[in-house]
Amino acid sequence: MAPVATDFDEFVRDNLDGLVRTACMLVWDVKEAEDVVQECLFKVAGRWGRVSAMDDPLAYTRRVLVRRALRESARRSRRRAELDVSTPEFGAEATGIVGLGERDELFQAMAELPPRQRAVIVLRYFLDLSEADAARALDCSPGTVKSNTSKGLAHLRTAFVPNEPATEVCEP
Amino acid sequence: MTEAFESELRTALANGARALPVDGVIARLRTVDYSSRRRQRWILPITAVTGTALAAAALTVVLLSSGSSGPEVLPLTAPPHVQVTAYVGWTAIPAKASAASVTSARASCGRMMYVRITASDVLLDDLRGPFVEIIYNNKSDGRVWSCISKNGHAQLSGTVDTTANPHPDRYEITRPVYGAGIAPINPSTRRGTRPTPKQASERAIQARKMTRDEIPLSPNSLVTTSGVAGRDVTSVVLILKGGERVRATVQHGWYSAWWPGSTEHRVYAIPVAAEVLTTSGTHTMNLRR
Repeated sequence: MAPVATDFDEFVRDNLDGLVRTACMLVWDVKEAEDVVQECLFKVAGRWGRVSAMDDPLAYTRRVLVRRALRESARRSRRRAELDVSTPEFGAEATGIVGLGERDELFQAMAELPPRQRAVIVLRYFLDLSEADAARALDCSPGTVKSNTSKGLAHLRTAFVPNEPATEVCEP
Repeated sequence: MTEAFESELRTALANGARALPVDGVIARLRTVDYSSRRRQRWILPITAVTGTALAAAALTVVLLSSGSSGPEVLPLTAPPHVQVTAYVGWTAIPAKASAASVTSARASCGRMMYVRITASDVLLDDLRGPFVEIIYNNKSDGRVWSCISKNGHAQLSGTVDTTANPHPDRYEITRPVYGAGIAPINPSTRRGTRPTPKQASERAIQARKMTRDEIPLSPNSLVTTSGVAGRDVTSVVLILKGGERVRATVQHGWYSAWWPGSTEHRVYAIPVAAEVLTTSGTHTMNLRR
């Protein structure tokens, strides 16, 4: 169980880094992630009396963050559809998210995932949440998490080329 | 294979997250006072629109008489595209903003955009009831921005598109501003503290023809028209398809006006013409698409 933080500033200090990086992975856009985290913290701050008394304030905050991120992704999709905006919000130039290292192709595949599938992957494999915890964060059933995980992984596998294990050469 | 993949995925996500360029974001978010500050934006639909919310009756707005250089104020039953609740106090004729309200707008817009907006950055200010719009030069990105604030809270911000089009007296400028529609200004104007984008002809304004699809499907959407005004232009009145007339502020070679949009009747919020009053008379610019 996570320790209960009683001071909101302390809570922000301890968890802001993780929340921002999680939000980036969820919305795949650094600027949007900043907005999502800020709005999330406003909401949590407004309820801090109750939140700080919870067993795990961070879990609650993550739930708020995930839901806001998904809402933001949906809104952005709608807005782009309405306006036919062609600005590449997920591109490397706009976000700096793509091209993060040796697994570029994996990140490209992450960027292509629908928001809910990406959220499941982030919750399960970045935050290491169980299916049940991921379901709570997403406000859906564990079965939905399972199916989205399966679909997401299937897509990511297409981009996955395992690192070659070191080959031992047997000298005669 | 599956376990190896999942393990590889965990490692890749952890490494990728560590490499994210978010130090600046984290530093900014640490400085926010979450207990007292509520950032408000109209970029998002705030409330679901209802039939009653669009009640066409009660709001009184002001109307410019056709072709007049001075504002003749007439009571008008609001056309259906005026969303009553979100824009209470909005006026079709702008007033002169006080120095204090412009200073407050600079501060709130600057906080919203994480930039310092100095008095010399402001190209135009426009006051409509409780709403202050400033058009300003954003030194951090070299673009011209519009920001609307109310009671010390920045509500909305977006860039003013000053990209020239091939027509000699019409330049791309009109935008529904709600965070989208980002476009770089003319490269030749990206530097300097007071941009001077390609000038409209002396008797014209920069304006662009707009379609209903450019007006967001939000009950709280709004439409802004901003840009460069020709040297001889002294007054601009935008005529909307719904018949409403909105007077722009003209200052320092720039003009700007904004008005409410809507979800169901957004076609009425499209500007179809601009009456441009110059030192040599009035002429009408067709903005129909």
